[in-house]
Amino acid sequence: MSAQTILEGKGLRKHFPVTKGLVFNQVTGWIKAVDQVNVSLQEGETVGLVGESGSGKTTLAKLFLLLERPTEGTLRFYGKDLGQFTREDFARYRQTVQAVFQDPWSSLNPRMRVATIIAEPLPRETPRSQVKERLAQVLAEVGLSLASADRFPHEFSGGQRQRIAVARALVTYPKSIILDEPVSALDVSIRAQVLNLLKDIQQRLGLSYFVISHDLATMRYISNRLNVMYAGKIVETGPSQDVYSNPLHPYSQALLSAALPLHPSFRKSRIVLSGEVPSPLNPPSGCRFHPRCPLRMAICSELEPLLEEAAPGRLVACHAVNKPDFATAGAAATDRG
Amino acid sequence: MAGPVPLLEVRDLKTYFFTRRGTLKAVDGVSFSLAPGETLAVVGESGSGKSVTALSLLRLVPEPAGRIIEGEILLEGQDILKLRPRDMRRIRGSRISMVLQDPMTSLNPAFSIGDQVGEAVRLHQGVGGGELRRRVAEALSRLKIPSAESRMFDYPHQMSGGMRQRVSGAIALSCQPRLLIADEPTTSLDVTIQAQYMELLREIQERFQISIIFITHDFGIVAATAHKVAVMYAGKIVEMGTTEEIFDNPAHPYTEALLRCVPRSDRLEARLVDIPGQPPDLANLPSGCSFAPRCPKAMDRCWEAYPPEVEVSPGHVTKCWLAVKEP
Repeated sequence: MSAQTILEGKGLRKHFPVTKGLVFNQVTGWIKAVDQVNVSLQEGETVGLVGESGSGKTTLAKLFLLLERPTEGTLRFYGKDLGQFTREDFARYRQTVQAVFQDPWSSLNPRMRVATIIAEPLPRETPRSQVKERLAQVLAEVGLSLASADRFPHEFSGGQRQRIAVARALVTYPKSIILDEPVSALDVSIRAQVLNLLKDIQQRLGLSYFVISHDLATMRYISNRLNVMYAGKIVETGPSQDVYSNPLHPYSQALLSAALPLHPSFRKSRIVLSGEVPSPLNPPSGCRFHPRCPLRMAICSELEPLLEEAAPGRLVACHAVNKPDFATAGAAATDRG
Repeated sequence: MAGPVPLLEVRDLKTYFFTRRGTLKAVDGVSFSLAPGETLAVVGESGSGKSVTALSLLRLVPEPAGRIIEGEILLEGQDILKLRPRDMRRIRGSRISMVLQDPMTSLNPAFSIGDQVGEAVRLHQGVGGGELRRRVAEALSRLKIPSAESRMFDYPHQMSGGMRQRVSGAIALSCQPRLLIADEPTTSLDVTIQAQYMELLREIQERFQISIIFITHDFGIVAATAHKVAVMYAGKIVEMGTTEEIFDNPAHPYTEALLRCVPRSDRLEARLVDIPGQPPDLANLPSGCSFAPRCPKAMDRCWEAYPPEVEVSPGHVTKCWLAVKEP
């Protein structure tokens, strides 16, 4: 495959300071929302990111959208480092990487007409005739009538609003779209419509998607590669089908097992995790999952597992998976120490 | 059904909203019954009338725009629609209680959780002081809130989403109701927390023999919890039966479509089957069957008259012309 890498993040960290006091703003701690994350997005592929709230998935999306700058690590755009961006690079980046957000009730300005909303990302100097032409193209692309352009967002249903949001993302001829929970605010019967639309558009225009979701079934339907995130770290990554059919990390296993059954006869015994996602202000020592982990060993609270290849193309950060033998794990700890 | 005496029986319930756009028939002739310890799932999209049905059972329909027009709601044989408001207040929170969708907004940020759990106990059972505190701690620990004795002095903002939803559960269950109405109680929770919560509800239901009405749009929750399912569309129950029957032999095209349009985690489809069109606008329903405009199997007859209720198999009913056998 000669697909080019559009985005590549290496060792990305985003830490937010926790401050106390109005005048002196003492920093009392750091929230490690994203910690040492490597992700890449190639042309034409769909990369999924699953995780629970507080796992840092939205912060990662914000890094990709340049809404936040990484505390540490590099973000490359077609090989060029973010630190060396010129004004033109930023402009090109924002045209190439677009976004669709979760809630089409709050992501569309209620006082703007649909035409204004969709055309807003276009450069200001674009001639009117071209704007009109492009508007007609993207409306057709998402299956809305040209007459929609003169109406306001409140006149549309949830599914149609999400189509408007997709049209706005498409208007600048992007290469990739960051989709943050694109269907979770929609009615069940409408979700399928929007998912099908996203797949069709991807095939027609050769887009790549970076999809964030907590809905595993949706993820499986849409993504090629999957990352599982927990408390700011990626704990497992691999081809979606493999991760689904054989999850390796105990957290991925619990996440998949917690998904609701498809039929009443599958009311199986699920792995019900105790406890909750840890506070990113004060994450557990060692492996961040160890307080909830059914496979916990002594080493897990001491040494943080690294993301290592557990099977071809699959990376897992877990002592129990990577070093099933406790003795070897202990030896590795002293080696690194 | 010949089984045990129903705890709740709803007969031909109609709740309408009178607005400038016309009369919205949010609940239009809904009937069902529920045995003690049984779970009924009411499934539907937004605007199908499932939440208004729940509010009607508590007589909390927002007035004056909304009114229960006719019907009977029999709770252990007594028609609660005929009760005086003050008698109805004695039932709300004690014999019938409700858990709402979003614990972030349904809890009062200005009161400690102990105050909020204790409110119902104090009002309905007239206890106070040390006895009240003991009852509150008991209600909280029933929902597995750790160190309930000290956490009852916490405020909602000091708790996580899953914990807050347990607090709403503790409030609803504090007076040991006979019927619990849960309106999408897990949609705002994470997957692993959702699994914990459902497990907890199931345990409590078994222990206290509570009947539960689950309002949801997610067939996964139905498969995980319900004994019976009622599928609502545009204010009417279009299909009702046992959970197994509905999953294995859906008789109404809407049920069938709802079951098929969800991506499944056990296999991969090249393309999802979608339901065309939008959920119905209650002010502007078509004549005949309200699902006809979106139905892949619509016939001429579907546009002319609303289909009658047909029993497909014992206990499994549907309202669809396809199920009507020609005489």
